[in-house]
Amino acid sequence: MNAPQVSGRDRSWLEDLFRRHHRQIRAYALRRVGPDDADDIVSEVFGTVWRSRSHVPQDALPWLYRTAANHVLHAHRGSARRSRLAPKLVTWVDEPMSLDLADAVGESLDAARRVRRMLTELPPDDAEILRLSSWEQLSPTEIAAVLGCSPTAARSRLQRARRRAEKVLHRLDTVDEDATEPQPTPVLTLLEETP
Amino acid sequence: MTDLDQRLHAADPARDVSGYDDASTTRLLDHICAGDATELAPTRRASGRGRRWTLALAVAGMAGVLTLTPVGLRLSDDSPGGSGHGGLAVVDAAASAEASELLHRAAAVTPTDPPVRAGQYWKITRVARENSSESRAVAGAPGGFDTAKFMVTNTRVQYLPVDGHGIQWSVSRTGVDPVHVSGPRDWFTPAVETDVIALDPGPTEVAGNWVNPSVAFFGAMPTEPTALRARLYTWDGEGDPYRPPAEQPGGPNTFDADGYAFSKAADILSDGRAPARLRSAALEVLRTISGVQITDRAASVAGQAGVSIGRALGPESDYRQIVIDPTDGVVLGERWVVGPLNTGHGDVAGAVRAEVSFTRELVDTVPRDVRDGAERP
Repeated sequence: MNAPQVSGRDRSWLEDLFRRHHRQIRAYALRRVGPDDADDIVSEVFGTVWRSRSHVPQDALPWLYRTAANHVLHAHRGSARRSRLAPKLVTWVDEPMSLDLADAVGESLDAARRVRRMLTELPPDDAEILRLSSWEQLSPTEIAAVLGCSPTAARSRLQRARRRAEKVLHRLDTVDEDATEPQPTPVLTLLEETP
Repeated sequence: MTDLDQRLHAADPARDVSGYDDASTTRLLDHICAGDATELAPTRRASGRGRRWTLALAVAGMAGVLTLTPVGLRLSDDSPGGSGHGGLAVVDAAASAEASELLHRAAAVTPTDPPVRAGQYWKITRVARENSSESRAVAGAPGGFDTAKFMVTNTRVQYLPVDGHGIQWSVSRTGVDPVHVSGPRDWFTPAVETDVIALDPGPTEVAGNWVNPSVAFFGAMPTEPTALRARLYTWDGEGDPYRPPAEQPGGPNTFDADGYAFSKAADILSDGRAPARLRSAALEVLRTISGVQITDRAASVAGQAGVSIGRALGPESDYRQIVIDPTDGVVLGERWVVGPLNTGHGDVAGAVRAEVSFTRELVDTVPRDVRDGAERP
């Protein structure tokens, strides 16, 4: 069926938005759900964009991240609705990415593992704000838009998370490592329902 | 970039992620556009009372905005109320004349830092009244989620060794005095959290950046206004989130050079670790930034009345405002006000999203309860 146009937000608008941001949303998803589900998240996010297109701000990226966070939450809950997702996107421009890029070098592997372990040991909201800052490269103002808090709160929380991260890393650096690989990073408990 | 940043980057599992090719993109867009093409309707609308509140706030927030045309100022060293730096020569793009005058007065009265001696600490107290939120998935809501918002008070007291060596102490207390703002009231369970942390190395040994500033970071900034202005309009690379178009993750649509420079100057003014001479220079720089104007003649921060000077940080962004006591030019704090195109999920235009005040004083000791109660790395 043909989609009704909403104030000029037609397919070309969606395509432009997709081409500008899909890589960032895919990276965001991959960091949180792994490669198997990341493409599904991308499909879900831009499907939501299309259905909610009159609500998408002109500066769409924080909105996209926030929508992606919601879909990541759904993915972690194992919702069956994911079975109706888009066809798998399997054709890559470049070589498929290895999830564990540090595998080739033992020392790098240790360092990467230690950082991932640090992220699992931090309170989930601390870990998430560190990811948004360091991996998504968002400013405190953008982080605030994603998390739904004020920019000053985002800045405070980021600084607190950094202090805690440095403490945990310092401890991990000085004790023998448990060789066990940590489990995938926790769900965004910022968005999690209370039991 | 700090060691923590470098380690996080190295451990990023998606740092080399690639994009989709044209065929995959087309296939996915075909699927999306051929699928459920019916736009979602908002699931909740503001009640009549809510709409009136929205309008009242919007009017309150915007009524004070002056639409003065930027004028060609040529301020010089002998401008009234000279700051000690001399005024910047401002010809074209600049703050409004009235805002400029108030900023110049504030720069002039910024107190100099007192002489310090080894063993003393800068005690920096930051009190923020700001929003805290809880978002959850809601089927049918725009974006698939809804948000409950509360205003809470977050306080942080830092004790930083004046000589830059030794332990720095931080006491933060968050989530105090929650007041419901919008969204489902029962979603939010405010919790007061207190952290007392001792960190070594001392502040000047931490290089810092715009995201994670330090005494050393601010100490290395130029304090001559022209040089500082050039620095604020320059991208610092990693650790500087105010990226130029080529470095924007989302493309150049979010770029506003003046908004970013304004943000950096406001960061200097609102942090508390910046030395007095740098704060004074930042106020002078604000006079030269296009779009800076009086935004509210009856603003308040922490119960103190003042005049706010600010600008939108970009298209569809919030207003960030520096609040100044017009009687003596003292900077009282800062506010964030929801911009008219940045609303939704409980954010209404003109509402104060956050207000922050800070004090900076010299003390001889760190209180015993802080020393005894601090977590150490």
